[in-house]
Amino acid sequence: MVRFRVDGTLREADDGAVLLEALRTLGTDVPSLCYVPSLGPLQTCDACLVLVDGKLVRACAVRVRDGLDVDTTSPIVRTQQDAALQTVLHSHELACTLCDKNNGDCELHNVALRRNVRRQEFRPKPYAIDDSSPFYTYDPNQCILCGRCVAACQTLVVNEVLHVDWTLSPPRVVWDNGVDVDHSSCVSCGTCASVCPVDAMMEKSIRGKASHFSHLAPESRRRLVAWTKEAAPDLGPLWAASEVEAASRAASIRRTKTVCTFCGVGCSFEVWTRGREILKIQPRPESPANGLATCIKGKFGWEFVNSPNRLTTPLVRDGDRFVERNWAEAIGHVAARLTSIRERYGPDAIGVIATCTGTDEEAYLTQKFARQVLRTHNIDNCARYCQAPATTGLLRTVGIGADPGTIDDIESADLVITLGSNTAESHPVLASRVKRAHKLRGQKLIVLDPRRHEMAERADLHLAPRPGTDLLVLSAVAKLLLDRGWEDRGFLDGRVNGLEAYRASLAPFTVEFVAAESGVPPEQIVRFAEMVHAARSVCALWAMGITQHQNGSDTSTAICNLLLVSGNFGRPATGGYPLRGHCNVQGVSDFGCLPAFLPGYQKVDDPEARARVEAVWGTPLPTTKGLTSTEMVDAILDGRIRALWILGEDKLLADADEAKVTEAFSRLEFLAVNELFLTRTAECADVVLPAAASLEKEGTFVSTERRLQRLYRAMEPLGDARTDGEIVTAVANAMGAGWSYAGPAEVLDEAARVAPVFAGARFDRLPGFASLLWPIAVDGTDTPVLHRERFAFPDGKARLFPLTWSRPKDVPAEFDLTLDNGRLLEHFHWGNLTYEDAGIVRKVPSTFVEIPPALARERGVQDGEFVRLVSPNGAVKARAVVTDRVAGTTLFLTLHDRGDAAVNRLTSDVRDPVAQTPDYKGVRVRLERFAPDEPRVPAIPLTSPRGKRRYPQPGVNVDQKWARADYRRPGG
Amino acid sequence: MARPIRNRPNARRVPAELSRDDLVREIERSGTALVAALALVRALDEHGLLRLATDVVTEEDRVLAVLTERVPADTVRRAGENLRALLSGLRDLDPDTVAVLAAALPRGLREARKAERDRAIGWLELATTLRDPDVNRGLRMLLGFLRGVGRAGPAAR
Repeated sequence: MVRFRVDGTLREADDGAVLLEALRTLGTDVPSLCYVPSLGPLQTCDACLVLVDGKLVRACAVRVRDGLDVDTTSPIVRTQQDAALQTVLHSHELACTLCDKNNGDCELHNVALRRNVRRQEFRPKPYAIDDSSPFYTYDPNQCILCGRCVAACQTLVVNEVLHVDWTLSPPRVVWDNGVDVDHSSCVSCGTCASVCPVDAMMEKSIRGKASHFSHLAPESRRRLVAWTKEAAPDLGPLWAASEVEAASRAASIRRTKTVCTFCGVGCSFEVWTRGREILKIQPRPESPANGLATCIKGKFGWEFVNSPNRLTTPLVRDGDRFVERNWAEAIGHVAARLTSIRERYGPDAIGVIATCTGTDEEAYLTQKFARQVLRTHNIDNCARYCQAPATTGLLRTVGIGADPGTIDDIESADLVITLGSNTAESHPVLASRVKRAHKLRGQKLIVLDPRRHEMAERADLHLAPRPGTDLLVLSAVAKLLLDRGWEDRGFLDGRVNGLEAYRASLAPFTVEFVAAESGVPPEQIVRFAEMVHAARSVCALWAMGITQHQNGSDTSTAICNLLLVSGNFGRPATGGYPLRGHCNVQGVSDFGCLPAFLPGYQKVDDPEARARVEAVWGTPLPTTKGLTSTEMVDAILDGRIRALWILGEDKLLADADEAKVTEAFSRLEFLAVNELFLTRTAECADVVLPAAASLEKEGTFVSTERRLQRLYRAMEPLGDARTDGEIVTAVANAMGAGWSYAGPAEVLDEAARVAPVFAGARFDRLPGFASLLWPIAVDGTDTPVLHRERFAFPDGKARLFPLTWSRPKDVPAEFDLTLDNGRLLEHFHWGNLTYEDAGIVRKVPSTFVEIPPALARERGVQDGEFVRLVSPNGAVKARAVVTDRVAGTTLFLTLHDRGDAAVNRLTSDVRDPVAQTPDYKGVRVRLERFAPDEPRVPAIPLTSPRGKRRYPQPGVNVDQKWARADYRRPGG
Repeated sequence: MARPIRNRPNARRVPAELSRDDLVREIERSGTALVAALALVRALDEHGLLRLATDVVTEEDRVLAVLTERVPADTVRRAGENLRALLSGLRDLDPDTVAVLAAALPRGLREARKAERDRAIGWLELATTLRDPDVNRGLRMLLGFLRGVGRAGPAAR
């Protein structure tokens, strides 16, 4: 702390704090319109002028230091601040009563009101409103050119689309080189709208909805504003009117904190609703994972919640049709069928798949239902399809199968390595933290991925190993480090076991051998090692491109081995981070929906762990582990499993080899499905139970960081839908369980008694945007960084895990191409949620297959024509996109399809032998032209941002504003 | 499991629609308020106000256009300014004095009503009346008021 003088009084603040923030903390009112802490000082509004040591300066651009003398009240300060405010008001017509932004958070309204502004001289601009985007509008006439949107786009989410064109007269915000929003490279993350202090950049979902008068036709609005300005040139009475009107809005607009339902980053925000209508998503600075950032799905992808296609009534199969039944009948039917099958074939004849989009409490109840009521450990979740191999890699080496640190650690690392991860599309908000560190701070980035996606384009080093050979490259780099003496000797000596055996296992992984097998040039492998050696801290992030291979567990282990050799575990800004794909896939696993683990990763074959759970549940547990989700398919086919209950998982599309799963489902005696929509899996069910969406429930999620966060109910479940927790409880009680939880808080309390890692987890410790990272001690202390003192093995030391590599088996020569596959930014998995959103469909209407230009030429394929991909397991049809994002003989198929282009028609059931995760990414196919004479239609519409160039800028470029002839320097 | 079923019986449901159960629950919960609301609606309807309100809201754009055209903004502005000036003057009055005057006003009016019925007054009678302490005090107050108005008038300023 340092001492400095404010208006003659000695005050204290942190040394180096932004003066504007320090003054506000001390209760001194200094107006500002452009400053947002996470964007840094933009210096565009000039409203925060104060005297510092006698000089007129912007308080946002000054750092507090000892002895500073600050004057915020002198007449010259007030005059300059008011003058700056009036200049801002030239650009923004005050019509607050009609404005949808005036909900208590319009910063210009609030500042002008506080400063008792009574008159404004508005100067209209010659620009039309841009409402071309399906998601948000830009109104240049209301834009105060504070530059927040530009700073957010350029330096916070680093999508690099927006800039202020200061050469125009008057200046305005432009997209790319001046195109409309819809045709620009804008990825519709919406962060610009979230940070806009006025109504210039606004979500379409709230426009015309918040104010009681904003629904007026534009001409009526114009008349009314003109009339009002003439009738009441003094703004005084109008402030009162707008304040009353704004206050009255609160009666019908609710703001509810929630956590995003899509990927596992754990973005949290407020959802604004009026009844069931979703007005907007508003992230908050205190959102721990994302701050003010969002992606297109989190910000705008919520239309599915009110879709007319939602299921609202229980459905029971009656021959070849579904009939509606009330809940009592449906629950009774499920309970009777499960009881009958259990009695006839035994408990292990039933499998349960938990939903990764349900809450932790629902997950806890689901696994408790399987174990306590059914008496089986046949409980699993969709982590089996994606991150189970990553968990294996971490468990083998550091003992805890979860991210060892936080997104803050990733952002502050010296070097980030991404492997098999299209981070900018699959985990866009987390990617923005890496892009930001890379752009602003010079963080280094290495990308291993066969595709040249955005992160690869940004990387300092991009390696494109042949699919399945990442393990080779990682092992070669580890060998290089050890051979050159670049290992962290102190760390290895003090905290790691197994070095010599590991060193010996690396002998085959010479640079020459690895280069030949992987296709990665030797110099790139060496450069990789040099960059790891040069970095003081390294984080490795990986996803499906690593885990969805036959050797996914081993490659995940190789990543951890490399991090251990280089001393990059157990301290801030280091570690290996599997990036979780569903909003609560981490939590569903953490809370015990795994066949080998009780809640908190306690092994089912550990008597002590079982005893702990049995004491709370009051029932003995089976002693041997259950079947994984993928093994359940085998078990159905060989008659061991007769019934499945699948909650919120489109297993028919998600599992590899669709034909095999279809066959398995046909042999089930009973299939129950909890779902929001009639998915392909639900179509096969005997009973479909309509489930509530995340906005309709209370509970907690665990994000990829191990971060527990609460979500609050924003609206009641649609129609007669119920939460998964209520449904599971009803079935359990119909089968005699006698559960009587008062609500999810009580469920979490019980989980805390059962699982030591959640010992201190309680709802009242997670109010609002508060969060806790497990392990959570009884006193509520959480653990942002794991392994700081010891690794999770009996001796506290990590373990290097020797690995071998074998060349994948040959496939028939006719399948001459490799098929990569994965997510796009806009869609989520099979599109059950995102195809319900008209805006998203406008951006990406359907799936497509990317083909390298040289290969397309060779095969005579042209962009936009339908092609067929044929594998040994099946065939799909999709339109071709010829692009250099892929190269050589690798194709890429997006996985967002539920019909003719569903990727799992091609995949086989070959699996990772440890994690039982399918080898989704190891598909070999041949390419056929399907209908070459049919008209070609580009699969990527002109309104999609895909393939468009970015327009990077360092920020707002305020110096260009200051250089304009019409700029009047404050006090100058 | 038999073959997949692609159709469902409740596919036509409007998403935001309340279920029948929800609706019945809401009606039961709001019974008293609904009866009161219906009484109000009936009264509005009987007096033609319900239709008026409906028509005004339905035609809000046209009504607004007429309003902004036919009601001159400067008239409203002048009215507003006058109102503000009046309010400003009222603000400066001493509440105690206003209370005394306010109490005196009804009595004065009563006396005035009585005096209205009296025959015409002559000079002698006027002189006699001036000796009445109440009349004398009232006259002094009136003269003082006139003096104050004169001092604050445009010429004085």
